[in-house]
Amino acid sequence: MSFLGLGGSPSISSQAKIQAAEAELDMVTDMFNRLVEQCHKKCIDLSYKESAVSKAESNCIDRCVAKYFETNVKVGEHMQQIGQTFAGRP
Amino acid sequence: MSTIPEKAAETVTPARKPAVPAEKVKPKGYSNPALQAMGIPRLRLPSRNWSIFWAVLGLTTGGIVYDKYEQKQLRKRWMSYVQPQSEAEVAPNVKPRRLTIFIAPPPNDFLTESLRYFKRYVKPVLNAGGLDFEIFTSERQGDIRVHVADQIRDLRRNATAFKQVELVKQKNEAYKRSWGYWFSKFNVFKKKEVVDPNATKSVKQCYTPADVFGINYKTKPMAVEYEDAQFENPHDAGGIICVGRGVYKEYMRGVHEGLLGPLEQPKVEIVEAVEQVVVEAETSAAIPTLDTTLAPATDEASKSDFRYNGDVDDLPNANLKSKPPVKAPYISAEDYATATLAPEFNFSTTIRDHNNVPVFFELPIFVLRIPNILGFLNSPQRIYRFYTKRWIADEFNKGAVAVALNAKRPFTPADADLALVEETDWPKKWVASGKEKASEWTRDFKVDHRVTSRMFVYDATLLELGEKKDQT
Repeated sequence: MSFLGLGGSPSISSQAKIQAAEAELDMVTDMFNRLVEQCHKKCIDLSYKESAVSKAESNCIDRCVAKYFETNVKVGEHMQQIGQTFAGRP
Repeated sequence: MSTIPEKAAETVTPARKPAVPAEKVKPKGYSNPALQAMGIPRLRLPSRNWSIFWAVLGLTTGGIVYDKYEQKQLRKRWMSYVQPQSEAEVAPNVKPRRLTIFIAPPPNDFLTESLRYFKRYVKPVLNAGGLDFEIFTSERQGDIRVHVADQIRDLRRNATAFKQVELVKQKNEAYKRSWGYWFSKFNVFKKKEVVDPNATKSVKQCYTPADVFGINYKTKPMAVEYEDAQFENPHDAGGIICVGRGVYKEYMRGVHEGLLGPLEQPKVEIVEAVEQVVVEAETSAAIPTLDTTLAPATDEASKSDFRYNGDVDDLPNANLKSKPPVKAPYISAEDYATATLAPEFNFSTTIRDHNNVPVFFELPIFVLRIPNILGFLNSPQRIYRFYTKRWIADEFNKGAVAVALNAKRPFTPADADLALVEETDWPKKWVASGKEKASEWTRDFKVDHRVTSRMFVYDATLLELGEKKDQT
């Protein structure tokens, strides 16, 4: 994920910067929506006995989000590597 | 002579049916008027061989099925005791009570065995109780002791650093109340800093993921709170679970080493001998490199016992796959009595860290015994244990409930023998070879009163459970 520090290089034009920012926003919101859907499916009890989130549910949500993020980052890095190897080949 | 007429008789009448052997007569089976009235046919057992087969199969699978069924019922029952506390409401910025769990492989076996006991019998209860936990596993003897001791030493160092930060804060506040600060603040002739608007900044400086999601757009960011910091009785917070007697020994040794031992690793005598040799070489020849000082081939002194005193990066040929050897203890058990208890901590109250959470070595301990035996000659015992896992499940579940419900008492000297039963399962040859090498798990286990007088222990016999809950 580019939140980990897209180092600033002065040669990128503002147009490219805007496009990059838009693409990143799309990616992030898409990831967030998927994350919310998955963790809601897995963790939250649908009987809705009370309005607040219980301890067990909050534990589950913490773990789900952490796992999702970690997996997302690892898969992203892996895809980047694959992309580089394919781009490097003639 | 007598057989000839019989043969003639057989050849004369070929149409007669061959005689049926006596064993192949089908038994009639059992019936009574009641069964007949219901239309149930005659009940017949299968043949002897088939009966043996079905009996053996039925007993083996029946035993397994019954054992698993009982385990499930026990698990449901013990989980029901802790379920209510997991249904409590919790604010989104509160981190729940967090246990620390240490797991090591049983002697001569793999880590998966210990992990299996933990996952099947302890984890469901902890999850049902809404407890958070952190697991530290080790693959070899000594890792847990080193980890625990390192953490305590870091806390001691941070305690002194924390005190220094407090001093600096107090100094700053005193300065703010002084005349010098007043003058510097209202100095009109100060230069303003020039900011270049076209300079590129990293993404992290411009915005954070939280800004993209808009979490803090309308609502204020909430500071993280720790439930462990808010307990009235500080020993209700957190908790330690040691899965195995060896782990318990390592944990206790680590705590003693951290609290009674020095902050820096004491230099071993052998290193001094090597340095002497190195100094002599320096005066005569070229300056020795890192390789020559650490290579044991040339120096006689370092041939005997190579003790490793540094970090991974100091090793000349650091093999990334193999880990560095386990660090030697900073203090041995004989020196516990003469050592001073960590001067950085204030032992009159519960020691807390920068988040006001009680530090892990102040919290109660629970030790689980791993019933793992090996060996061909132990097969009958192993088969018996295979069919009676429900008793182990009960023991482990009950212990996990004791941890979840905080059934604790102060540490007594007899608690140095917690889970001693497990040592009877350890392979004798392994123990003998361990004693020769003076390995961690087979050494004498001594505790110091100054350290253990502050400790607590979870005890399953102290559980007050009330009436049995419904199993629906």
